[in-house]
Amino acid sequence: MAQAVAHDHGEHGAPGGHGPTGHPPTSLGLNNRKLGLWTFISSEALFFTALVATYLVMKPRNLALGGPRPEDFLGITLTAILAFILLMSSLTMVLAHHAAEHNDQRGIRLWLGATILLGLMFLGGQVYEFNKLWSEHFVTVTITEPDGKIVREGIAEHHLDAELAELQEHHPGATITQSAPKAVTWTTSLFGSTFFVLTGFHGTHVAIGVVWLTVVLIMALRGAISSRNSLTVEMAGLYWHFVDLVWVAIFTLIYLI
Amino acid sequence: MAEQRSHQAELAHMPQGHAAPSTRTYINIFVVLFVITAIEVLAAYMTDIGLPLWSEIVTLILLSVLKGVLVVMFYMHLRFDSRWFTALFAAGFGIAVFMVIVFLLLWAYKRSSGGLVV
Repeated sequence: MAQAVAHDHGEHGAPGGHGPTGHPPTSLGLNNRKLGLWTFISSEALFFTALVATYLVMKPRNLALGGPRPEDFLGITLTAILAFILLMSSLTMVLAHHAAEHNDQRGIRLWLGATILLGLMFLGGQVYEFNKLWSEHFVTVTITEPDGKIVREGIAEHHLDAELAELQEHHPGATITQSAPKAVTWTTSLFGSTFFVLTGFHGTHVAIGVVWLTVVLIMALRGAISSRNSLTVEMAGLYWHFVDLVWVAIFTLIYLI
Repeated sequence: MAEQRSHQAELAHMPQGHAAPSTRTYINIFVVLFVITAIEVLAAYMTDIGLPLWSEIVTLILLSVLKGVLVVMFYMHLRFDSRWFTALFAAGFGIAVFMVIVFLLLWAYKRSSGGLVV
């Protein structure tokens, strides 16, 4: 009977008792699920850093190859709004966890619902941004100097006329040729490849978070979430905050700098 | 059995149980995060008013680190949780930052030495 009680209520893995999964506690006295999630988050930090590092390393190479200049296509306004939405969702998420710890059923549902809604708004914004990028074009201009030196520039199609005139002025005697306009997709430039892979993976993580939170919300609507198993909300929250954290880095390193 | 229940309840708050901050604290943190984000957006135009690029980059990175620390410490509860979780996260994050710095230096060196053909 004592063992049954330990299974029913032992939400936190603890010395001497098994958690709800039936696993023994860790020798550190930490909860298995939480330890596993923090290990996962730590590995995710490495994963996203690899993608960010690739973007940063390839940025000058993209420009040298005549790829598009990021500042011509990435707007700060939309992404600042998206950053605000994710920050808001972090607040609602932590309030959902707070409500779960205090067994506030209405609060759990309200704040989880709000977090899901904000997550969907973020995804909507990202879809809009991707669509906008895919519909825009850039042209690779090749400048061959009289001494044979070759320089390439990636120019946004909407700046082309003005910038071509400037280039001709700055490179007298050079031969200037231009490629056909190319859409900003993940196959047309290093910028596109690294940008879409990085932000696409982040968006995928947001989508997974929305699904996870929806499952927790359904549990809450069925009355299956209370202060006794608030860890279920906390786990989803840790993942969600990490996704927000990644956006903090992406917003600064990709959009602002 | 009552003793067992009491024991379980006690253990539930032991190693990773935390004295959660109040709702007011969470809202205050949000306000600070919002203000920092607004400053970040303004800081992105520092070069437009004649300030050097390095000052803009340093400012933006410091502000984003501050935001990250606030999220991790308060919203992810690392400030109130077991130090093991902090160590676990710091290990991964530390390796990650080290990796970025090494890659950037390596590629900058290869470019400056002409070893990188573009």
